[in-house]
Amino acid sequence: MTPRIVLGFCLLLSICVVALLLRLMVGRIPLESGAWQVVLSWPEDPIRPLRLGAAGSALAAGWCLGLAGLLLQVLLRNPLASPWVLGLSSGAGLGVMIALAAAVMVGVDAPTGGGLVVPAGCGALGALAITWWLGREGGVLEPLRLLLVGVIVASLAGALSMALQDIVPHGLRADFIDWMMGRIPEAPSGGLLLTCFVLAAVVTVVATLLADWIDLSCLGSDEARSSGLNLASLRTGLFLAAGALTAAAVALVGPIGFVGLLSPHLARLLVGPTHRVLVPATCLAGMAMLLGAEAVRQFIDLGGGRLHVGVLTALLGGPFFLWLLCTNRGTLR
Amino acid sequence: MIRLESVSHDYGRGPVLVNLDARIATGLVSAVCGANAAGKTTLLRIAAGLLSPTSGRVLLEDRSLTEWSLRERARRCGFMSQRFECSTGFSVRHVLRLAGLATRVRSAEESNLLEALELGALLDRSVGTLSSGQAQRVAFARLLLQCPPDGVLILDEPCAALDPRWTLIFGELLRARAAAGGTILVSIHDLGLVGQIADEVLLLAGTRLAAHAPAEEVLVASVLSSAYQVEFDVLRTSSGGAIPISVRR
Repeated sequence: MTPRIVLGFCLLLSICVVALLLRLMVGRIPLESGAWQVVLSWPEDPIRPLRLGAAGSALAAGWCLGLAGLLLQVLLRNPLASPWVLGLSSGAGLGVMIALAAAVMVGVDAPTGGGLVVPAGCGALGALAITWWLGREGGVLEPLRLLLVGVIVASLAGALSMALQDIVPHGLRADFIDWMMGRIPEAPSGGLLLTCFVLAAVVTVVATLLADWIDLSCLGSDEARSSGLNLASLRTGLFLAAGALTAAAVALVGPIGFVGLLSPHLARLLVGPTHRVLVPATCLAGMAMLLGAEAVRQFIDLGGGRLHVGVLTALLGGPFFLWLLCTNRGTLR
Repeated sequence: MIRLESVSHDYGRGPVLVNLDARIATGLVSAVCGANAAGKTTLLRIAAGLLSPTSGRVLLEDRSLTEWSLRERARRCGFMSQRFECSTGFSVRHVLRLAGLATRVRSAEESNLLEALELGALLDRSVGTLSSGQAQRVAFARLLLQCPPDGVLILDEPCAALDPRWTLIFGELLRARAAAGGTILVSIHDLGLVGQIADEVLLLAGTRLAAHAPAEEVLVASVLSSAYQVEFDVLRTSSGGAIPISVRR
């Protein structure tokens, strides 16, 4: 392991630890004037479990999204690939919208908060199944076809969600928009949190063990196959793993952009492109980014409460990606 | 040794190859020639097991290709495509290291090869920053490291991006592999190069194998003219080689 790689891992780990401590310690207390004051203190009960829940959710979702982004960049042979190109977030949004619209039509209480987890998960998995079915050519997943199908599925699901918004009342519509901007739950479902951690851990271990073969798949298809790689199986594995990770993350925190796109690039910048080190580094980068954004947003209130985490990741991630693009011309791969 | 038995292929837009029989012998450089869209790449990909023929079969060392496991086959037979691709910024060193993944053997000739292909100074460069010719040298080295000296090398236009010096060096390395007991099947557009390095030529024309014979029998004006639909003059070199030149009359 070269000094550069060691340094990269130390840096990512340090960011994770600082962001974790910050998220656990930062809080807001109401003032008599009606405003809020941000305070830094070690949390006591009953606040502590809530902050631990938020930190755990950010860690799990960041891990899942970062890893999913990396696997998709390998699968689609495209540095712009991210978990959203497969239409999973739009599918999850449609699932939520269908659940809200169905509740209104049947006349029962509409699901909110944690109740949106199941429809979001179902929607994401539905989009995954359609993209998988249509993204194959001769029984093998084809990167370009997959990319195009993902974009179309995302557009269709987005359009259907917009159409269904007319059915639900304004209050629920606001709840849907709130969910679409991403939110880190302070009291996440224990089962879902555990699912995210276990899934991410298993995929990380398997991907690290198969790192050399994943590297080989980055060469031309014919070279990779003639070197002994079962490319069809690897692509299927990458697709299913990335899809499951994204669906789990969306169910936990809603659709949060840029973490899946940027984490692999940040990790690549720090430890290089070989997947034996890039896979674990990307996991750390995903955790650091989402946990960092979750901690930073506690300080930002534009008048409507703390800034949505998805808005912050986009606001910070967009310029960061443009900076990467401009300073690493020709090597952002 | 590779044997193609009644191989036909059709991508769904009409036949590309029809009923092709050929035996690619060990110890020879066999060049695949033909006009554009004559089916050269299709033939090479079928021979390498990367494309299943619509009908017919391919035998590698007297065993059908379908009976070989992927890794088993990778230890005996390698393929190099016309353009080297890598979707991420690996170093040259890492790309060469991946050559031994299936075999788990580090080739003894690695240092000689790095020297012959002058790759020593490029080892820590990202493959994304190489010129086309340099990238082809890396791809060629990767192929030679993957396959043992008596293995099967299948190459699709390996010299397309090379200058005359490197074209000559590639040719010499291929001839050395053949002399060491290797089987070489290579598509080449440059008929002058074919005249210099090929022992035999498979000439494709109109979905069929128009000729499969020693190079000196194929590189004659009458045979080439009917395959390429253009007239040829054939120059003879002092060493006995043939350099066909297409001419418009």
